Amino acid sequence: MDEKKADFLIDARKISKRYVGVQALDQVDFLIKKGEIKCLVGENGCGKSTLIKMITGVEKFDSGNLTIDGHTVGEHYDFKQALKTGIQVIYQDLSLFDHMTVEENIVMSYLIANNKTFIDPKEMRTIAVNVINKIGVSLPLDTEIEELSIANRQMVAICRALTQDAKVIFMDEPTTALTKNEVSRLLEVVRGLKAKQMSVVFVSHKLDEVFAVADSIMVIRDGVKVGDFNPKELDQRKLSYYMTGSEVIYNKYEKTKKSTSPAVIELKDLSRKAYYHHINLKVNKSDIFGIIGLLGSGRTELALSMFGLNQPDAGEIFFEGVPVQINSPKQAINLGIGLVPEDRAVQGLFLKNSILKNVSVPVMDAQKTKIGSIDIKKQELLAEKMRKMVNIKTPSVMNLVETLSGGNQQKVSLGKWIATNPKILILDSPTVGIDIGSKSEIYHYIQELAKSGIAVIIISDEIEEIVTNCNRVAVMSNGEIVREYQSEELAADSIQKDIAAVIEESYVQSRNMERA
Amino acid sequence: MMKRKKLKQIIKLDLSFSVLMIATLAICIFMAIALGGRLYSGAVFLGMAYSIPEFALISIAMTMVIIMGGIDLSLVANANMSGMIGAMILSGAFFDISKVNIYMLVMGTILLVLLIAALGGLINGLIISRFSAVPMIATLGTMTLYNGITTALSKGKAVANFPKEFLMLGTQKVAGIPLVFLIMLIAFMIMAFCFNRTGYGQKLYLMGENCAASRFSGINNEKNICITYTIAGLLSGIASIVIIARSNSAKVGYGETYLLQSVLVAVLGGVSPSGGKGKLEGTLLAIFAIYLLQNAFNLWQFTTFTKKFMWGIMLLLVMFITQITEKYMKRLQKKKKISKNE
Amino acid sequence: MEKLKKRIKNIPNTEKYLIVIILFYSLVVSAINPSFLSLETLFDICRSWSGMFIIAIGTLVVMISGGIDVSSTAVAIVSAHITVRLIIAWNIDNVLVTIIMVVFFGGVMGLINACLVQLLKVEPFIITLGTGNVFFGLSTMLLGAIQIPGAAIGKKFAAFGSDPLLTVTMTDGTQVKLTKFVVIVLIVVLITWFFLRRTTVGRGIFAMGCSEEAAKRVGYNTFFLKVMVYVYAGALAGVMGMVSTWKVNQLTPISLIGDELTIIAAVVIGGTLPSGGRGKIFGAFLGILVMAIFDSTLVLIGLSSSWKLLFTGVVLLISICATSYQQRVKNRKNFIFTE
Repeated sequence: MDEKKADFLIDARKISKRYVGVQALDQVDFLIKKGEIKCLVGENGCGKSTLIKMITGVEKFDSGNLTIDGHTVGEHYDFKQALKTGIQVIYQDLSLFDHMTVEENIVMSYLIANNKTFIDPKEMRTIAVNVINKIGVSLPLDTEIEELSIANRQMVAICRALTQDAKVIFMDEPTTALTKNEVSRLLEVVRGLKAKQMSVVFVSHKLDEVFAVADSIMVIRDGVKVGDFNPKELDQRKLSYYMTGSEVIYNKYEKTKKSTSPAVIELKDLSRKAYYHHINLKVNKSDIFGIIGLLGSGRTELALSMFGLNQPDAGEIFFEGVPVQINSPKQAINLGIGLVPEDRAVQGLFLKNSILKNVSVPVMDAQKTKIGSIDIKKQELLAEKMRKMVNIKTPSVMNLVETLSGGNQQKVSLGKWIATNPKILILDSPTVGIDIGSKSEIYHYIQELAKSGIAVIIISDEIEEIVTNCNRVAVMSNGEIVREYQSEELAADSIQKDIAAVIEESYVQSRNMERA
Repeated sequence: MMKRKKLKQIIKLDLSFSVLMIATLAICIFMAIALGGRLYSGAVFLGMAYSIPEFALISIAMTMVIIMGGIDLSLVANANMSGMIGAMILSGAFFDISKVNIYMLVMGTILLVLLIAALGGLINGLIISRFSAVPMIATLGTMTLYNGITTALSKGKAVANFPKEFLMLGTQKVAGIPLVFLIMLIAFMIMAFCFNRTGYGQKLYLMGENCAASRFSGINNEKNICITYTIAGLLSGIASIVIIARSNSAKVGYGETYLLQSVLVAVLGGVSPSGGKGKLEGTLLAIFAIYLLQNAFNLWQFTTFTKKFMWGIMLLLVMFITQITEKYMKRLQKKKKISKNE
Repeated sequence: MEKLKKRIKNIPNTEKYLIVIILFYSLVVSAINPSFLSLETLFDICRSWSGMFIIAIGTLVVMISGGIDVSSTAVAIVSAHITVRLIIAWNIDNVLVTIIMVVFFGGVMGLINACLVQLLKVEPFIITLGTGNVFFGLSTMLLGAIQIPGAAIGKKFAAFGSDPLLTVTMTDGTQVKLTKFVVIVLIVVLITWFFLRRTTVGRGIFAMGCSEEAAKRVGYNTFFLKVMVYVYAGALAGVMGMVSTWKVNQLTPISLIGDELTIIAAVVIGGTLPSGGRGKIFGAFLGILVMAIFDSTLVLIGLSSSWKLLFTGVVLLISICATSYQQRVKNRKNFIFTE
């Protein structure tokens, strides 16, 4: 069917972009109508961020045509122009200003886009209040951002984007702390502005969300557009297939060894004010225990408590039957607890150091020569061993970690902790931003670790990941465990839908309580 | 085979260091041509051997702290404070020294000075680690405090007249080399060993690069911060002994220029101002180059103002050159990536 | 009344503590020596510390943007030096023109700072360390370091520093004079307040102090912001240099150097976050006030001036610990471990 050019808000044809040595985009078409909600999906590094950069004017494309709202963009198209033509972008890290108030953050786009030199406080207040009412949220306008919860911060970011008469909003993984309901409600509001014909483009790796809200799904693979799809004619497997080009089947983990007691780690009635309360769980050898919940549910905070970075106020932790107080990561490591943290680049790795150095860090004190100095030979041996064990694709362990791809970087992080010979390994969001090939490799290594007797805890917000890899699952919401699943239940066909429903329900409950 | 590859990699990783060495060599050769025997004479070198140590010790301390990702503006003030206390003891301001065994007095005073200086450093470490204060600001505070203590104790006047047994330290030679120079060398060798070969040294570099990742890797940031600043304090304590032994006086404000010059020297030596990179050897090399330059400036009769100008320009130039080398390295890496992908 | 209550509540804790300390200290001092609480003291402080307050405001703006400027005092004295030489050579004896000239030269040096900070991508501390030395060294190399008395500069020039704005006759017949510098201070305060709080560029400075990357993403030109910040700081530094010259009725080309860290200290005492993103003019005012009070009163309570640094150091450390710890607690709540 031939669509007239004028029907499309954004009409990008044959956009190509080459970076040094890599064709990031190869003749990609991107079309979105007014009032359409389009999801952009693809593996990490497939080119979707590059495409967004091209369309939003952050960088220039090499060839192709870009027409926004009927106007073809010229040579001088840049981000500021994009803002003027009605494009708004919400980044994954929200790009908010911590020490400034909600109101100040919200009105910032308005000030810049309208080239305002002077600020009229009354006008600012009106604009902020208007947009908040438009969306139907309540935000404390004079509070500084760093005092807000993650969910509220995401709301502020979204409000900021809507102060302009935005024609299209690009959202990069914006909804990690919002429930499906809230996302839907937000998009309802956005759709409600259909009178002004606003479009939304969002990038999300949460395929279940994608299916719930998209009018159309566009898949990119290796810089090439695979196609535009109607969500009704797709399911997760088909989508994965288009994204990766191959059928990827993850092996489900089956625990064969019997549980021995005492449990490797047991949490009794653990509480930490404002983060989690009354947590009871047991993890045994060879268990892969999954904790799932939205951002803000307390799952990372719980993990940090098991690692010595977030002292609980009440309750007890038992390690191999012995009550312990974990006061520092060093102590946790000595006990045999390892944590692969959520933020790989900032918390997990030393990007400007070699793979060898990174792998050796937690065990450095043990690798000494007789006179107490560092034994480089031992470090080398260890790094090589890890390289082989988790298949880090690099010509030399002396290479800097920043030269590796996301998937390989995560393998370094994993290898580093395997090297400590842990009794229990906690993995916080281990496959975020990783290509599907590396993903299945990492799942394989985790399962191998568990089979060899190590207890594993995986924290994730991807239901499929949890169901595939875990033999027991706990759903966390608002700081408590609302439901636990054992291995028999996890075998059920409808389990993923079940879990999604539980998450949804409990969040709605907690938000209602908050409002009451 | 492994060894040749390693050598190549080491040179590449430390490109800035190599550049520094070449630059220093160039300066030395230029000086030789321009000033010849006037600069490269035994007398000049001997003079340098006496005057470098106090500055070098401060610079080693500053280098340590910068590599860890911090900075210590209180080093000189700390040296002056501990030195002042020692000086007042030795000049009899607190009690009559003629009644005490002179050698015991000297030993005791030295130990006390070192202890106080180390304590001064520890205070820095505690404030920075427990309160997460920005190092520059925290050490600015302690610098003010220590200067304040020195001023209050001395009432702004210089203190002099120390026992000759103490002053011997400043003039004594061992096998033709001034004692103070040896002290500096020993301190340098110990610190270099710590940096390059011990776990503690490795941890400093890691903390300097990314203190969140170091925490998550089990490194005790707080402990290492305290240790480092305490050692820095200790080093400035040693420096203060050298200072008062050599100049036979102690006063507030001595060595003011040392502070900023030590930053210059560290940066010249290849230390990255934001931490995580750099070598002590580089600093020592830079100190040597700077002192050569300093002497050359004196021979050319530069005024203090001209010297200040030169230091400023050099600092900016070094930063500029470092920038360019890094850009060049990045381009090299990208080229490598292409040749791999194709 | 409600508005006033709200205003008081909004004052950050650091400033409240400072006000308490200042009030308490003032009460103690005036109890020991009643001559403290007098108009004379107030006017004296105005005269001695106006210049410092002006340059502190410039430093405040730089620190809010996330940077730091240790070349401020060098810029101050060098721009004053150049201006004085020029107005002698060109036979100008006009206060307004003098101020404009000194603002110009200070601004130019600030521009150099901004360009280098942008170009070299190194800590502003290191860069301004270098530029400070370069400015000072170069100017003294070329212009020399001779002191120039006010009379040689110009009649109106000398008069501006010595003629009072207003004179108050006390009950005992003595006359107390308020210096004209306060006019400059007031203008600077108003302009800065307006700049920071009522202009988009001002907001941008706060934004850049929070996160340069995020500021770029929102659409700010961060280079332009840096230029604004350093030029403004340079201009204010220039003004301070001239005020210092007026104060002592003499240009001393080697004065002021070495005070730059004291200025930063005052701004930090006042609650400015050294990493950027937060700061208030009132805070800088309190910081300067603390130093001013210590400076003039230690003598009154029987301590020699050699105790001044000690007191300042203690207050500075307390303030640093308090502000930093507050921020650390906030960071830990959000599980930020980057310090």
